[in-house]
Amino acid sequence: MAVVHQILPNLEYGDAISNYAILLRRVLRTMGYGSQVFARFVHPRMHRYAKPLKAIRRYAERDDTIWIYHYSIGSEITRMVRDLAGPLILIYHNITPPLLTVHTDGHMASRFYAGWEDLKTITDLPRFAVGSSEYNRSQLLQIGFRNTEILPIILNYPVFDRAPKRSIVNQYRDGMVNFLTVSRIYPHKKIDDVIKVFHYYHEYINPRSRLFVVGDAKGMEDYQAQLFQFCQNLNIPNVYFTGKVRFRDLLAYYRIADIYLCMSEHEGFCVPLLECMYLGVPIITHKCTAIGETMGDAGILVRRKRFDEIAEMAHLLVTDEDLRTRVINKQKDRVLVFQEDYLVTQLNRILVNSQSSF
Amino acid sequence: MADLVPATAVDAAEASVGGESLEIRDAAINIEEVMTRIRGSIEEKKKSRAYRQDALLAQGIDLLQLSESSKSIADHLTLLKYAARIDLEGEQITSHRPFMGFAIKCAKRLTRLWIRKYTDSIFTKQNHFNAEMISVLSELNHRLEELKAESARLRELLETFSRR
Repeated sequence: MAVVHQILPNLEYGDAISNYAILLRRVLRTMGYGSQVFARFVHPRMHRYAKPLKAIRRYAERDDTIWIYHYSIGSEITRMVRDLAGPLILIYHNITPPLLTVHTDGHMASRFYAGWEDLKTITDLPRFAVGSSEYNRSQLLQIGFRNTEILPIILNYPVFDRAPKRSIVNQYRDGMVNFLTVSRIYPHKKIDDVIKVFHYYHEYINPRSRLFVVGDAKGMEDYQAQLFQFCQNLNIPNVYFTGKVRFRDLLAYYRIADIYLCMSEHEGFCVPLLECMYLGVPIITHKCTAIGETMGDAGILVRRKRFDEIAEMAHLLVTDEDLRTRVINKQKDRVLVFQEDYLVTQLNRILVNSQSSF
Repeated sequence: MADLVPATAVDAAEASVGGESLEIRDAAINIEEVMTRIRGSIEEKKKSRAYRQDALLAQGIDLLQLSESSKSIADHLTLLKYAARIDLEGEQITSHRPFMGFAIKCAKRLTRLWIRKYTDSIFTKQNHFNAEMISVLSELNHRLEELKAESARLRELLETFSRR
């Protein structure tokens, strides 16, 4: 049996791509393949899941090794991936268009830009270029990759059934309406638009309400400061920026959430939507890029950002029990598509085809 | 209509997406009925004294000016300006390791200091070249805009003459 190893620049704690790589490792091992994850930087809490990149030489000698390279931003390890023997599968997790961040963070924009340019130079390298959504796959085709496939993102669902942090649940499950958004604090995630919706809701519908913004702001302190100032200018008291949280805390925020809001302008898949679907939190999300595809026929999609109408929609979802139940049930039906069986079928097909010559 | 969003933004959005601002794909939910309830509720609030137009207009502020992002040459030039600047300091030196981290960071800093003796002059030249290139491109773009404006003016004149 061949071995299938994965490579990614960083294996972070609480990062969607890192979690996906770990889940793929388990799935590959269940399918009978030997599998390791290699990363340049491994977060101390993730050491048991991955090996450092320098250890790759010991594993690269086998002829029957298939390599999976997770590509999300430009990285110098692309050069190293070029030299690996054996078929390569590139999993493309999408790159934010640089123009979306150029006005606020030129450094990040230039990294995205370099990532795009780098990707264009390796179109001949992988046997398969794989996107986590049709949106990502179509980008791969535009860039010039020939053999493209879709490999769905799924979650490690059993871990979401674990007990949430009790203190958070006890503190905030108090009859107030809780809005939630889970996202890194990036400008194109449009946290300011989430605040605008909450502002209307809090001011004109229900002052007994809160907004939790859960996500890391590292490197985006200027943007976060702008958001603080924005809240202050609008005089909104109940907006909580939690920063990066532990998994049990994240579960607690999902448990106390009455509404999930996403106003992002760019998503290659949007994993938190899947988490909400599984955990029964009704979603109102901006319909852009891959989001419509991830949502399928579930949730509420925002075609045009009318903040008053979005806030009133949230109010209906909170107060109209029938509507809320209907939306949650539809979301639970939708999440059934993103199950391990589907992933295994797709992965198996890609692996078999990648071993045969074209 | 334009209570929350500046009129120009609404007009542009209306032009690109017709119909409702919200979409529910579940056929069992009547979107028209939902939107009627939503709009009714908004109208009720507008009648109330508590409804402050000025506060709502603040929501129309595009904090990050994302809507200004487009694929214009000027935007690409802004992007190129950032991409063209090579940082001689390089990436930030960090280490995840709790105890050995400090020593590793010191070693990396020393290595970088040593390497920079040889690379700085090359990178500075490249930076200079990039900056000059951006200046030339910006100037060309400026001239192009001027020519476009002149061309439009001449076309207008020509049309005026041809009408006579």
